[in-house]
Amino acid sequence: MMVFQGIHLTKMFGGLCALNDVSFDLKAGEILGLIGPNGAGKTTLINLLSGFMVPNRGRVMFLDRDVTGMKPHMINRIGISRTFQIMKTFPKLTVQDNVRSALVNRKDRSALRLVLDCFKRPAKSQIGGVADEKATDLLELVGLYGFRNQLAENLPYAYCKRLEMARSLATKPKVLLLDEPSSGLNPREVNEQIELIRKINGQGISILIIEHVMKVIMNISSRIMVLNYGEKIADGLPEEIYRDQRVIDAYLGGEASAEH
Amino acid sequence: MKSRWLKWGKIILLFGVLFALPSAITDRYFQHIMVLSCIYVILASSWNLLAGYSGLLNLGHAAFFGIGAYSSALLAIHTGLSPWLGLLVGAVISALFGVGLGVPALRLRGPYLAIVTIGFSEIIRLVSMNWVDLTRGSLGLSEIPPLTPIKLAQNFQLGFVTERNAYYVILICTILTLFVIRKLVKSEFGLTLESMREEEDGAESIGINTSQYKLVIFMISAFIAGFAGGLYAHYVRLLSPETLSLHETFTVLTMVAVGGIGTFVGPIIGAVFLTVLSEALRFFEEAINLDIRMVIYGALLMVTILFMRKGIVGVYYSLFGSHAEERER
Amino acid sequence: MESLFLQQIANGLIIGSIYCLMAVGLTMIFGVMKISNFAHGDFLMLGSYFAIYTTLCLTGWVGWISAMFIAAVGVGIIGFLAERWLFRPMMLRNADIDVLMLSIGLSIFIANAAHVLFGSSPKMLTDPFRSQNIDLFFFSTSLIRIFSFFLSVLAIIVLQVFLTRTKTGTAIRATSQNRNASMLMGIDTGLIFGLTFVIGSAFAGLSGVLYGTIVTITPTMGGLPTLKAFAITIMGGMGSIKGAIYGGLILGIAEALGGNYISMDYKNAIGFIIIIVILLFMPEGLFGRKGR
Repeated sequence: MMVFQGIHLTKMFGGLCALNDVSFDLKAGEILGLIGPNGAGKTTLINLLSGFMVPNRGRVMFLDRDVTGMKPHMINRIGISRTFQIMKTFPKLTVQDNVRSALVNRKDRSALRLVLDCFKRPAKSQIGGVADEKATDLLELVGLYGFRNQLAENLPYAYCKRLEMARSLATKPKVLLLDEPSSGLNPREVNEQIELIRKINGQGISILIIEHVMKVIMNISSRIMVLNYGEKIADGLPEEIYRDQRVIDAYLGGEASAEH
Repeated sequence: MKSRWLKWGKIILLFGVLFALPSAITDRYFQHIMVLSCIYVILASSWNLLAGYSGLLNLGHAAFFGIGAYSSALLAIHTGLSPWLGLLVGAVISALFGVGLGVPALRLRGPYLAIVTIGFSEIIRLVSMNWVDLTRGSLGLSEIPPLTPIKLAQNFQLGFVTERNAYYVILICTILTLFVIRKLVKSEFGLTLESMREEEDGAESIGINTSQYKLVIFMISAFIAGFAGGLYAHYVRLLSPETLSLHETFTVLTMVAVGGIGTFVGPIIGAVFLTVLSEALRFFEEAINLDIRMVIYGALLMVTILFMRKGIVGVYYSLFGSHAEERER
Repeated sequence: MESLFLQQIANGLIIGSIYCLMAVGLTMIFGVMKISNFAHGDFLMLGSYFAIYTTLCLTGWVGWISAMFIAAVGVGIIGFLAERWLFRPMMLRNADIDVLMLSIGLSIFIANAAHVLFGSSPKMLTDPFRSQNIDLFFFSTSLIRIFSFFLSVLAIIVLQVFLTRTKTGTAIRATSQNRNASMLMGIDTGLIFGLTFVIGSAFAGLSGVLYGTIVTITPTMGGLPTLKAFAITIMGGMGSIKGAIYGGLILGIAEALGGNYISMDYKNAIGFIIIIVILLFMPEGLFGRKGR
């Protein structure tokens, strides 16, 4: 079953073509790896899929619904979450609040309703009630429960990455777009990351993951897609991609596979 | 359970002191300072909603204050509208302008937003100076009606011309306003604002409609500032385009920064501290015959930003541990 | 009346050239250090006062040349101190709001300190041409304004030559484009920051001398130039010198025409209206953020 689809996506910045006629599909429950040299357009693709940029041509389909050009917050509300290559956690909020912030205020309400809701007794509003429970579950999933009262800016780098993942999971996505979740992690942390992604996938969430760390991609992807200079040059099973001459050439002599 | 009693006990004690003050301090000049402090507490807290909690640096805040003040005053003078209603009408008009200013804020950040807000404020000020038919220009408005007296008994009515009575009314307004603001910031709404301040893209990515929130908070902040303006108009009963100047905005900015930007009590402390300091310096100035009040303001602001980023509140937290800070929510 | 129109255009260009001088310093500082210096107009004001006191001691052309020199150098030194003590510590903190508020504090401080030191009575700067006018083909103006125009042009040309033809200038441009890469290439960014701020401040001081021949000089005169300089840099794209030049001339002409044909009272609002309109359609200014 097709959960997420990109159809002939094209994105230009002035005269520069960042993405040229890229199509792909993501089936339910699978993990699609997205690799390619720097500047290939991977993050641009994620930006198009999550609403942070609008494609010049092409469409994005989510469960048979055309979501092209929808605003980022709307795309998130219908079930697509993402993480960022440059972390965008909330530095001066606590770890717990980082996750809680994703559990509240995701429905459109009139301004009056917004203000009046502030006067509800805590039992009815989300903070301190249901939100706390869900936040606790998520923090335990990523192993950050012990840090819940720390400010996010004080967390070590690897934990911050997990926090961003916990936050993106809080919105109960069907599709998760991960932008280099393993960058900057040491080997042990990379292993933990692989485990975590498997666990998330096990809960039924389809994943599109950009990665440079070959170990991660080869281990967890059901399929891999390769971009180079904005174009898709290969698409298939990990073993096929590993041996594909075009992919090797794109990476200039297969130096990326040296990590495997 | 015990801590709850303790908390309420402290609050009741505080209220008691605040209400008893005018009996203890009977000098009219000091009472005047108390009233002014309250008005600035409201104004500073409203600015803090934008800059402190939402990360929107609005340098045109004086315009909201002025619009509320002028609207209420003009309505009272020309249509005889009761100032009590005028306060609310002025606040609503100011809120509408707030939404108007919020629209450019949707797409602009940092210095770009700051300059547009200044532009907005300066345009409004120029209008108030040049639309003489409406505002009497630089002459300003005088003899603005005070808050109409409340009839308590047959021959007895409570007027609000004296500093003492004005203080009681304005104190109640201040407490109400602070109550509303506290509810706003301690709720989900407040959490959402802060997440927007910290990382706007991050907030969008978790389903938060940042555009709506920006407009709403501009509206609320402008409403409260306009309300403060109305109170000011019917208390001081004189208005001039000076109330719309950048000078006013910078004063409020300094109050919030020195008190502690982004905290609840910061603007309160800052407003009271700087209003009192301002008056105290007036005497000092006369003594040494130099106008150093604003020089000290400027120096104070710089020192605060450089060394005490979270203002007086921050200093308090760093001295008495951050347990108190964690319990902020 | 055609000649009146051309007269206004000429006036606009001349005032615009002084605006350019004002704005170029500001946009350079923003481009290299990402600092919005709200005290820029107050630096201009200091330049005016330096000029007044210099011309009080030295008369005629000697006084005038010295005044320009002292204004530029004097304000440059003040800029150096401000950068070293105030702004450099903020660079590490990476908080836009803080820098803006700090520069607001600096602006308040300088303007009011000037009020205390120099007194608040307005002063006039006497120009070395002794207010002589000149009639050119289709417009007339005072000699000092012609002088200001050419001096501004000259100063900006010298700056451009410095930035493009010298090693230090290239280092400055590199730092504005990519700070980290510049550091990795061995550029002492601390030195570059200091130098940029000094140059920007010196330009502010110099523009103060020229501006001082057009307006009366008071301690609080810096507020309006600050806003106009910001309006210009935003119009042209913050960090873009080319943009500042275009913006300055556009603002000068718009004010001259608007003031004459629409309303004198709202002349100063023209700049704001323009930038509000521009920013509504192009949030990054006319020439964008990475322009130069």
